[in-house]
Formats: sequence, structure tokens, C-alpha cells
Amino acid sequence: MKIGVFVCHCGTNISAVIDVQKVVNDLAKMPGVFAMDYKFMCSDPGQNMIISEIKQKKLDAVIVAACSPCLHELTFRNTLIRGGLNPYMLEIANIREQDSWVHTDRDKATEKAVRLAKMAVAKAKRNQPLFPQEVSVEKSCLVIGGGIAGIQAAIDISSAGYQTVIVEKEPSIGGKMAMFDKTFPTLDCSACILTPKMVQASQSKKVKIYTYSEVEEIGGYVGNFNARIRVKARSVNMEKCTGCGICWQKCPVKVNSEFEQNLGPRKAVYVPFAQAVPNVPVIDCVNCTYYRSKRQNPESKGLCRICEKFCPAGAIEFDQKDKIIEEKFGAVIVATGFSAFDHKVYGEYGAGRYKDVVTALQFERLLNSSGPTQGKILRPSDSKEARTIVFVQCVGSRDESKGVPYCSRVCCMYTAKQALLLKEHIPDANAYVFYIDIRAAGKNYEEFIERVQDEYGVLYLRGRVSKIYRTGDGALLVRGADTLSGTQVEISADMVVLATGLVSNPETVKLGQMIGIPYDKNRFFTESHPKLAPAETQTAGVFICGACQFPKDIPDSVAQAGAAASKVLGLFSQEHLMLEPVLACVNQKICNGCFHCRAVCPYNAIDEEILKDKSVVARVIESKCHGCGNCISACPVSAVDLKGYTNEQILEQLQSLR
Amino acid sequence: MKELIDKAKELLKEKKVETVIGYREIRGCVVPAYVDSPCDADCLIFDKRCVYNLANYLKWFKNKNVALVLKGCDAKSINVWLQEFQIKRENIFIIGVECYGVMNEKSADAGLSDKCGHCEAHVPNIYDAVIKHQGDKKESVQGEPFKDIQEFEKLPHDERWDFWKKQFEKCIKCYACREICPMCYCKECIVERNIPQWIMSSPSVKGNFEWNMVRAFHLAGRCVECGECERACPVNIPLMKLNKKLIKEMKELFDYSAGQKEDVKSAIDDFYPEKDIKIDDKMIR
Amino acid sequence: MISEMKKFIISKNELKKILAGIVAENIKLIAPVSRDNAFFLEEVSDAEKIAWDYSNVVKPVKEHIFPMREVLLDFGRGTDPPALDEPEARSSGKEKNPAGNMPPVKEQVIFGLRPCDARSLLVLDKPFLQEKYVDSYYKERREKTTLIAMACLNPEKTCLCSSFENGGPFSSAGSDVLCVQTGQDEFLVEILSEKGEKIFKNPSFAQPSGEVLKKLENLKADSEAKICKALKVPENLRELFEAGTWETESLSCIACGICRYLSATCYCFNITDEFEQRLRYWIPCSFKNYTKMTSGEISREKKSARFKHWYFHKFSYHKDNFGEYLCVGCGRCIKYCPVKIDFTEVLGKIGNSKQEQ
Repeated sequence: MKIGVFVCHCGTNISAVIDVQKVVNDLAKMPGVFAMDYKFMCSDPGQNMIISEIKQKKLDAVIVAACSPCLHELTFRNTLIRGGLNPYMLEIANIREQDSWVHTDRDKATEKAVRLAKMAVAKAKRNQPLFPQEVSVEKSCLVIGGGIAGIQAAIDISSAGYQTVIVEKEPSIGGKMAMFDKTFPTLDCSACILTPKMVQASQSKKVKIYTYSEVEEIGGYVGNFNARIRVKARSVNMEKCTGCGICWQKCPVKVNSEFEQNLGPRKAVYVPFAQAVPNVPVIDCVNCTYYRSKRQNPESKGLCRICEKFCPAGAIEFDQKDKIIEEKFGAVIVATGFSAFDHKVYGEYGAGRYKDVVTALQFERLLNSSGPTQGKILRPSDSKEARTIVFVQCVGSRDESKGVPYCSRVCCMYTAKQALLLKEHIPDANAYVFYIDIRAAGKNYEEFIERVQDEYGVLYLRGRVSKIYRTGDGALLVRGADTLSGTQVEISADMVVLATGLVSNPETVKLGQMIGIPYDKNRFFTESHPKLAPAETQTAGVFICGACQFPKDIPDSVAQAGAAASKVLGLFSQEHLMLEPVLACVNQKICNGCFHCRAVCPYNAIDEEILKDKSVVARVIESKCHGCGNCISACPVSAVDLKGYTNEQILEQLQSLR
Repeated sequence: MKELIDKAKELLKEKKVETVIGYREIRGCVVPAYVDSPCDADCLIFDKRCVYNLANYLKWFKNKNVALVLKGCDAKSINVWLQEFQIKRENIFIIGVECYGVMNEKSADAGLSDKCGHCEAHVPNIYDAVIKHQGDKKESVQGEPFKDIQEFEKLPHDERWDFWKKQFEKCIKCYACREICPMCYCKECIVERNIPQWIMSSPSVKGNFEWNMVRAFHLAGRCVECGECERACPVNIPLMKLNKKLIKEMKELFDYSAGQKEDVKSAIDDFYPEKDIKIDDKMIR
Repeated sequence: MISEMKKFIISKNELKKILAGIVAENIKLIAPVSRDNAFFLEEVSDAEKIAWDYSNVVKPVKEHIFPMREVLLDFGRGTDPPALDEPEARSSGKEKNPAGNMPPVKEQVIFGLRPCDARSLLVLDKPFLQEKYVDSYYKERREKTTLIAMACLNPEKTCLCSSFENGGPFSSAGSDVLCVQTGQDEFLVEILSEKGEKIFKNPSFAQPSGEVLKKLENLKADSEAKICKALKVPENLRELFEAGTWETESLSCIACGICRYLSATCYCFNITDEFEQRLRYWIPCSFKNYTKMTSGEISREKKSARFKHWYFHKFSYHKDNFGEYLCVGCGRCIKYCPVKIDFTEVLGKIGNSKQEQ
């Protein structure tokens, strides 16, 4: 076997520390090895040099001793193709990031480079040509989550002509953005800018929306995902319902509304908010009198049924069942958004006992003119107007002891916005903001903060709040620090708004395990590369956008949704996908069928196969396999091996070091 | 014995199984018995001399309907086989026997085997029929099951190394430990793989260390402590010391014992996201 | 040429002194040693460590002439770290030089082996030292070995050495010296060859009295009476190759290697290259891989075929090729079988079965 070793100087990146000539000379001494060097192997002349040597010396495999394969593995693979060799007959010895960039001793670094190159030669001796597999692509995208990010992604993909399905857990799309009053820094009314998008998505012929639905199972691989969606029973027929609203007007049962953040009521049959899409109510089976009576006495006709009586369209269907939908998709976008931090862990802030200590989301509902108080800032405890409001920032965020070490990004801006809106509602109200730092890194954000302080007279106090407690007259005493003046401050407030941080959606773990995408220690989904691939995941065909990847504001969510959509469109623009051939394969003669490999495979890429002698053995589903190698470690008899990184190759590499 | 013999006859007559594997007596000692027809079932016995773990013979009876006479310790092997998809439950009929101890063949005073001392499986935890015990029921000794391992662990490193070196000098690589162990069912053992050669096939002290240690590790979480390997070893290597050490580790680290239930995943595969990933609910509304 | 059949009496201490003298002359002394209630023939440097109260050693004496693991060639690169107690040391840093770097075989004296083991070497000589094909590794060790056998006073119930022509608990066949413990501290020693003479050079040992010789006869008779097993090979064994009884008899066999390895006469081995050495090591014909060919085909796939082959090799093929059974009746295969298979019983059952197609 003839192996060519090409050692790169990388300008002086490598040659400044490593004696390249010595590396070439030492490698050339190996039998069957031809070695040469060049200043920039990745350049056109460098690549052409490799090609001509392949042809002239009839090389079987090529080693490039240069920078990390992350950068140029693809480049050199293509070089080999142009030289007439299978691209997997390439080995790269990283003598830059792993050698010249981390060592200073010239002799030792050169010796290390020689050893790295020799290891690559040892591996290349056992390289086999590998051939990528082609798979077809289903041109339909699944978007999990119908908030602003999910909606935007669906609009972008469908505008290119491809089918999109949005699956949303709540009865309406819109997500958290539908709860806000006005958005910073422009103070656009949130619903006014969101609802056109919601309508655009729902009216598009290429977008199908399943609300009050959840994804139960996703199998398959890029281009060929199979999803099972459970459309939960609303107990209302979507085709018949006209959205007239008589049912929820007449419903006698009142419960706390989740949309109103428990500050106001809703009925048992309800539409979460006025501009809901679809504008079809849902019956809350837990609280509805009919369903409760049916659970107690299954034989009875059931109590109440007022909504059914009054519905002019006959759309109430108490016996409606969940529907299971199974569809194929080529790509999945996860846009499941965030949850609010539960401030009950802060005992010093009342641990949720004080009604007038509200969260930012609750305050949004108070501000909103279609909220529980019609836009009047009333104290939840006694419905008196709140004229002195203290805003406490970083509640939960940046607090390692409460488990949230990161900054939630948006709170500084939304607190400023809420203080401004308070002043708009009640011009002579007193607004105080306790902060640690102000993070206003966006377009017009810094100016907004300045405006809130200068124009609207909101007082910013740099310090933390140590305690909030109720005084005898029903006010809240807020004790904090003002570090810039070096004093302790006590404010008697009517209401305290806590800027609670953004934490991950509770479904993240289950969803991540189901789809097979990783999440980090804060349980936000992990992007493929934090700088260069923020909308992709390690799993091919699955993309993420919005706050489920990390807390972010609306412009960033929309931008990331567009990014995810563009990746999906890139996927759909191909007729076929080529899968990496570095895959596991099972020697079925040796396999025992114990399936330890299947248990440790993160991608569910092991299947059963029944041989002629009725024994059951493992088989790798090549399209799902990512070549991670877990199965190879788990197999007790070494029946699984990794093409391109076989056990023998690795042992040869180790042997070459001795 | 009548109950056992009758059961075997019934199974064979009704053609529920092709063979009943049990114990019989010949030349004053007990050997495995293979009964194919009802009239031969009269030879079946069960007493203190029935040490063999008959589950081992399933290696040669895959995809066939067999009945097995199993003690509590032996029946645990079946659970591991089921966890690892080696047999189908409907293919085997387990005639469980209630057992209060079998003899240690290698001891001069015919005392009970070491494993019987802290047995918790007098009645097998998986069976299709159970034969009750005739005779007095001697309860197992309560107390620390891993006492001897803990004592050994306290010895200095050099002493322990020396001990095992002396033991493995004796090993002749006859692989009786492997062939008599029900858990060693691999079509081709790792020691026989030569592309690449993971551990030495030939006998030498180094190769013997490699072999015995790899076997002990491959049994981690799977060894049911039937003790057959130590009994079969012709040169008296205390193999159960090695195996018990790993059984102790599995218990302490993962609270896992092999062969407890048929529907539990095996130790290496045991990962349940709901159980193993802790979600701090306080954080999330 | 030995002067005459020499017999004499010595005490245990004197015997120990002679054995110690062997060690002092830098000759390897191999004698029975106790390890955890079992006895093994091992190299001893201190005659006090020798065990005297044993029935037989676990491993047969063949391992000292035909080792379990023998390095035939060493083509090491010399860069490997030293292995843990390798019986044959690797060559150190020398270039490829086949067979040139093998450490020399030392002279050795094996004391305390039983007559069955001594006879086993006579049996093994036939295949290893054939006229046309001499196994030089075996030959060298065989020539450098002196055997001092110890007669068997208490044969086990698994022994059957008397079934063989020159066999028996007091047989002198194959040994250079035969010792018999005739009293608490009294050993009757019989020199049988020149090699034996070299060991017992001292002429001043006492000649055995008539009383001692009578005791010898009695001990021999007692011992022979204790042998309760006999070998009976069916005459038409070859024709019973296809008998169904092989299938039933092989059911409880677990196909390990104990009967093959512990047999005093089994000698099948494998040659492989492992970690830069060409090795020869024992391999039992009970393993599937034993008959695996390059095509991947295994000719004795079924366990009953491998079970049967052992019997045929020992009692049919070897008889045809070398004129005797490949067995000396040491009985180890019966004693150590984990599932208590007794080959004499199997042969009996086969003999009673009919030839089946």
C-alpha cells in the first residue's frame, strides 16, 4: 500500500515551532510512504500538488499533517475525489492545534508531530473506501411550539412553498407574546403586531395548525421523520363552531385564568384570549361541571350542559375523543419557548404569600387594557390603585444558589418598559427600580433606558432588595440597598413587581429524549455550535429557535426562527441527502442478540434481524447512525465496529507509538 | 420426589416440552439428567447434592421447549437470560424447587456451599410450578453478606496482588468457568477474537490475569452467584471472591442485584430518563 | 549402561538431601507442592517445600516436556514492555533472528510423579519423536529430563492404570528412578537408567533386606487391589461412529477443556502469532474453533461430534497410527470433570448400543 504524507507549514503557524523537514524525512523512512511538504496545503496549488502526486505515484491513501480536521477535512476529501481516490482514504494528523499552537519546545514538538503523523499512517494502512448512502427527503416541516418563533418559522417555510405543521400545546397559538401589553423599545402593542402573523400563518394554505395538541413520539431520521401527534379533545367541533362566544358567556363555572396569570377568571369552557387563533373554545374537563359529574357517576346524563343548550351551531361535543395523527416530515423545528421562574423560593420576598408582590407577567396583564383589571393598575389584594411601585430586577436570574446562574437578557428592558407604562397610566405614580446591572444591548435599547429615567422620572437604585414585608396598613415595605450612595433604602410600596427570570420549558427533557437532541444543564436545548450554528442541533434535520434555545427578546427570536427556516429550506432544496458513511456495523456471525448496543444508542439506530437459524441479532439502521461509537464500547464480544474508525485501526495507531 | 417426577411426566405426556432437564443419581453421585419420555422421568431426584446450575444447558436448547428443575439461585439466571433476549419465556417451563442449601463438593466435611449462607431465594423468584421442600428448613445466616470481601479489601495492595498472582499462576485456561457459567453464552468469546486480539488466548500469568479479570467485568451486574465456576475450577482458584467483589460494587454503586425480576433492564442498559434525570420542580412554574 | 538393577533403602532426610543437591548443581528440580489443598508439580528451590502426602498432582507431567505455552519463534521489535512473569522471556532489543534468541532449555529433574505420568511420556514419545518428524522442542526437553517416580500406595477410585500392559501403581515403565515409601521414614529406591544413576551417586546406601522386599510385594498387592476401574474399549468401536448413544451421552458435557488439558496424554495444540511471538499452546478439541478453517467453516460444529472425537482419537485413531491407546489410566478426566462424566461408563454404553445409521 502506498501512502502519501503531505506536511503543511501553514505559513509559519506550524513551521515556527515544528521542524517540518525533519517530519518529512522521518516519515519518508517508513516503508511504502512518500512524504513532502508545502507552505499552504489547503490552497489551490497545495491541493493540486496532492492530486498530481496521487496520480504520479499511484497513491492508495493520503495523510495531510496540518490543521484540525474541523477546518479542512472536507476540503481534502474533495481533493482526493478529484485525484481519483475514495474520499475516506484520507487521514488528517492535527499538528497545529494539537502541537505547534500548544507547545514551545521545538525538539519535543517535532517529535510529537512525527508520532502524530505515524499514527495517521498506521490508521490509513487499514482504511477502506467508504460510500455514503442516499436518502430521500420528505418536503414537509414539523414546528413544535406556536409562539412567535414557531409562527415566524412556519411563515418563512410556507412562503417558499413547502408544507408546515405547527403543533401547539395551548388552545391557541401566540405563546407568551400574546400576554404582553406593549413591546420594547417601540412600545408597539404586542397583540397588534402578533395577531397579523398569527392570522397569516393560519390562513396560509401551506400551514396546518394543530392546537391543544402534543407530539407524542418522533422516530426516523433527517428527511424521513415519523411523528405521532395527539390532538386532544376540545369537546368543541372545530368545523361547526362560529366563535360567537355564547357558550363561555353562559358558563356558570369560574376558575383562575392561566392566561391572566391567576389574576382574573375564566370559564370552564373558554377561549384563552380574545384574539385566539383558532377562535374555538376548549372545555376544561377538570373543572367543568358536566365532566365532574360524569366522573362521579358515569351512568348519569351529566349535570349542567348549559353551553350545549345555548350553542346555536350545535358545536359542543362532550364525547369527543383525542385524535392521533401520524405524519411524515423531512425536518423538525423545536420552538417550545420558556417558562417563568417561580419566585416562591425567595422567602425574603414573601415566598408567594403576598398578593401584591406580583411577577412581571402578572404586571403585563394588569397593564393590558384587555386584562383582568382593564388596564387599571389595581392592587390584587384590595383593588386599590397602586401609586408606588417597586420593581425588583434579577429575581432568580444570576443567582447560582437558586439554580439559575445565567442572565435572562430581557428583564432589564421589560422592567424599564413596565415602569414607563406605569407612568403613562398614572403620571404621578412613583416608580423605583432596584437593579444590579442594566443590560440594554440592542438597537435603541440604551436610549430607551435613558428615556425612562430622564423623561419619565423612574428612579433607578443600584442595589438588591433584602426584604419585602407587609406593614400594618396593608402596604409593602421594601428594604434594599442603594450602593451608589452607600445607604440603605426603605420604600413603602403599594405593589412590588418582581422581574422573574426566564427558565426552560418543563417539557424540555421529555422532548429532548423523544427527538434525540441534547439539552444543557439549564435545560435549554443545545445548539450545534454556539457561535456558528445557533439554530441547528447535533441531530441532523432538527433545528431550534426562540427562547427554548436560550432566553432572548422578540427580534432575536424572529431572527433565529428565520435562520432555522432557512436551514430547513436548504434541506428541502435537495432531492436526496448524502449520509456520512462513518457508521457502526454489526458482525452478525458473532452477535449474541443481547442488545446492550441498542440500550446505549442515543439515536435508536439499532434494529433486530432474524437470521436463517432463527437467532436474533442486531442490525444498524445506517440512516440513523451518527457514528458516535457507544455501541462499540458496550458490546461484550466486540461484534460491532465503526467503519472508518475500526478497532484494529485504533490499536494500530497505539502500536505505532511504541 | 414424587411431585417432581409427576410434574415431569405430565409435561412430557402433554407434549408441553420436548425435554425435562433435572438431576439424577448414578454411581453414588448426582449428574444432570435429560428426560425425553415420561417413562424415563422416574430417575429425577432433588437433594443436597444437586449443585449444578441447570440453566446453563439452555445454551444448547435455544428455540426448543424445555422444562428445567431450578433452585432459587439458578432461577435468577433465567431472569438475566430474559433481560438479554436470549430465550423466550414461553419456551421454558420452570420447575422451581424450594431449597435450603446444597453441599460444597470441595470441602472435606460436606458442609453447605458458601453461597447458601446468605441465600434469600429459598423459593425461586420465577417459576411455573414449585416443588415444596421436604425435610427441615435451615434458615440462612443473617449478617453482612460481603464480610469476607470487606476483610480482604483491607489488606495492603501488595498482599492482594501477590495473592491473585499466586492464584493465576495455577490457571490452565481450561475455560471450565466459562462453559459452566450460564451467563457466558457468547457465540464467540472475547478471548477468542483475534482481529483484533483483545486479550491473550494462550496461558501465561499475564494472560490468565487478563482472562479472569475480563470475565469478572463482563459478569458485573449479571452474575447470580450460583458458584458453579469455582466448583468447576480444577485448580481451586477462588473465583467467587472476584465475582462477589463486583456484586458488592454493583449493589453499593447502583443498588442493583442480578436476576431479581424478568422485566427489569439489565444493569448496563438501566437508564430511565424519568428516574435518572432529576428535575428541580421548584424552579419552574 | 547401568551396572546392575540397583535397589537401595534411604531415609526421608537423605532423600531430601539428594534433592537439595540437585538444586545446588543448578539443575531445575520439579517436585509436588501444595497450593490450597491441591498438589502441583512445580519448580522448587527448597527441598523442605516438597509435599509428600498426596494422591496425585492435578496437572500431568506432560506440561514440563510439552509446555502449556511455548514460544517457537520470537520476532519482537524489542520495544515491548516486559510481560508479567512470561514463562519465556522476550528477546531484548535484538533484531529479527528466528529461534536465535530463545533462552536455553535447562536440565531438569522431576521428582514425585506417579507411574502413570511416567508412562504417559512413553506414550507421547511416539507422536512427537517419529522417525521422519521429530519435534525438536519436545526432543530437547525430553532428553534433558530425568524422572524420579513415586509409586502409588493409595490409588483413587478414579484410577485405572492397571488396565494397561505396562501399567500399575508400582510400574517402573518410563521412569529413570522409582521410589516406594515402604515405611514411615523408609524409601526403597530402584535405579532404572543411567540418568537415574547420575542422581543417586552415593554407593553407600543400604541394600534392601528380604523383609523390605516382602513389604514391597505386599504394598504392591494392596495397592493394585484398590484399583476398581477398568478400561474396556468396544472392539467394534469404529463401526459405532454413528451410534445415537453419542448424542445422549454428550448432553451433559459442557465442552470445556478440563479432560483434554488434564489428560496425561492429550497433546493437541494450536500455533498462532500473538504479540510478536509465534506460540504453541494447548487447545482442546472440545472447542468449536478447534476445527475452524480459513473459510470460516467449522467441521465439528455439534457438541456431540466434539465429544465423540476425543474417544475416537484416544481409542481408535491413535491405536491405528501408533499401536496403542492414547491413555495411561491416570483418571484425571473422571476426577475433575465438572459434570462427572466417566469415560469408561460412556464406552460401556457405546459398546452396548447398536450401530445406527
